[in-house]
Amino acid sequence: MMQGSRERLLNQIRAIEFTTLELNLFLNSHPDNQQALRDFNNGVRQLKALKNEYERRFGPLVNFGFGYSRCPWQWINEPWPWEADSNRGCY
Amino acid sequence: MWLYEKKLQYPVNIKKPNYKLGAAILNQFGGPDGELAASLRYLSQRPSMPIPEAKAMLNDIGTEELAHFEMIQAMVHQLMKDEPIEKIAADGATSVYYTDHGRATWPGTGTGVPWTAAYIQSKGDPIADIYENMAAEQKARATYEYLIDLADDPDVIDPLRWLREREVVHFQRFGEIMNKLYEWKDSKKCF
Amino acid sequence: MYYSYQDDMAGYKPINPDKSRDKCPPPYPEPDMVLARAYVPMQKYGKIYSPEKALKHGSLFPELVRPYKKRGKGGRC
Repeated sequence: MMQGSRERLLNQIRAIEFTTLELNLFLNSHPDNQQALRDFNNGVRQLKALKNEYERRFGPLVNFGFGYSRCPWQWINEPWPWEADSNRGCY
Repeated sequence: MWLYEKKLQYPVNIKKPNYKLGAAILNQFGGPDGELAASLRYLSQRPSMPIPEAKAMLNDIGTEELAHFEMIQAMVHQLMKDEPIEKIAADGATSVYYTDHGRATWPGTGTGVPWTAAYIQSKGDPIADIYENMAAEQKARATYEYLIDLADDPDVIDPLRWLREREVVHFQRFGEIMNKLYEWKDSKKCF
Repeated sequence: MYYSYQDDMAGYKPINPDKSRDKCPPPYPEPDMVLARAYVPMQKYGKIYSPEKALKHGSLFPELVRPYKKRGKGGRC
């Protein structure tokens, strides 16, 4: 249950972050494109909200102090991304 | 510096072990046209780039390639992990990889050739470097097509297909940077 | 005098003189292109996928999506 909702949220993060990554690369070679920049900033806002929700519920998504942890230290929680279980139920 | 985000860029979820296919896919981990070579090539070239667009592009694509390196690692790991030893032993070629590395992901090819910086160039000439990168994206695209030809498990083909598409996008972005580098070169002549 | 591609065409008679052949061979290189370098068209910002579709396809941009068809048994293409 908890695993299922974690995966759903992770997939939403993946989709938005992939969109901002693509816009980031596009903007690197088109730095004056205002429409792309608007879409990028819009994506950033959504991504921040989703990542906040993820970290509040499941612990840090990024290491070195970019997300809070509860006790005990949540960063070491499994599964790690290369382990198949962490990706169950995606696409 | 770099931060680690505890998720794959695109999910990898392989249920059926296939050690032999894992050894083939390992070439995109530490082989001549693999993701490690791609990442280190672009990140090594960064300081040579004369214009801000080029610096950013090499930095960001070099970073994305590390996420692809991780996806390939996940694929190889999941393919090798639960393969029965009898199946590995029955294949002469893969049993040689097993002898040296077991079920580990090692940055080389599935036939035991170690990764080498000789796969990449960092020439200090922005035009030469950007052509190298465009060629590298095409070679990686071709490799993914060969791997898709070899695979028949949809769980394997799907991430391979996805990674191949990234090569197409990166080629376009490097091409755009190439145009900008020529513009920069031409503007310098006017001084 | 500048070299003109048209000069070369003076005695050219198409073997099959239909409409499409009239322009053959095309005037290349294009007027504002120079030799001995590659060109990639700059992408224009147009249609984009929804985030979910973008992730699925491997690109945000429909015009950059080039699916690959797996080679079947015995085939080269």
